[in-house]
Amino acid sequence: MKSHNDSCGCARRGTVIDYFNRGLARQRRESLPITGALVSGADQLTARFSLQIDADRIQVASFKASTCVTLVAYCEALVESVEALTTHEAKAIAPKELASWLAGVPAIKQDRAALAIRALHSALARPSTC
Amino acid sequence: MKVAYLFATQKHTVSYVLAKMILPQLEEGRHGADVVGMFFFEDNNYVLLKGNPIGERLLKIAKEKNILLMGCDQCCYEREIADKLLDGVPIGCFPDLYGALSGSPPDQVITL
Repeated sequence: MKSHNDSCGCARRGTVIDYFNRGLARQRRESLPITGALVSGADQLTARFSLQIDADRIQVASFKASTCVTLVAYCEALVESVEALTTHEAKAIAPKELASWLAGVPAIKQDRAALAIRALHSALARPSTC
Repeated sequence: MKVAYLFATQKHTVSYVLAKMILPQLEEGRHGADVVGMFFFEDNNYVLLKGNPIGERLLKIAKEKNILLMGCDQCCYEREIADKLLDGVPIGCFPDLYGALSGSPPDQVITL
């Protein structure tokens, strides 16, 4: 499996299909205490993130999304990257940056990154109950 | 009659059935049905790679006859070819395929 660190120091592990497979497994888990809104994008795709935050730091992140390979892969890449980040750091991740993490995605499919980011932001905007 | 082809099996589906039957018939204008779409699974997607001689011929006739060509997205990602397909050929899954064909729906979907 390929692995490298990007500019923010986050380890990237694998190809689009690797992220997709890990994302599918993650989607079967229960949602976490802070749940964002169900966010919709093009092609009737949806995504919803849930988080566990402690002292403004993301402890665990998860998501449920439509079964689109690209969207699930982006959501999984995002989840793996935001764990241990502060909410401020997580909010700073831009769609273009997320899109750059996964090589080999055709340009026409990269709009899924923006949907994943919007879904994460929705969860980050919810008041923490921890 | 409008038809769409799903290339699902991998033996000689592309090298024989597509390249030596369907494609020449389309080029000669005597296929006998209006092909509105072709969708490719698994290793059949390699025909859609830029520079593939069969794929280049297919793209030419697809443009002339307004035939949708689409590669299975998961299959293409697994093979790391999703961004290496012929110009204008998208990847997608069933919702994308049905959506793309909705303007000219086939009477028959033929799985090869």
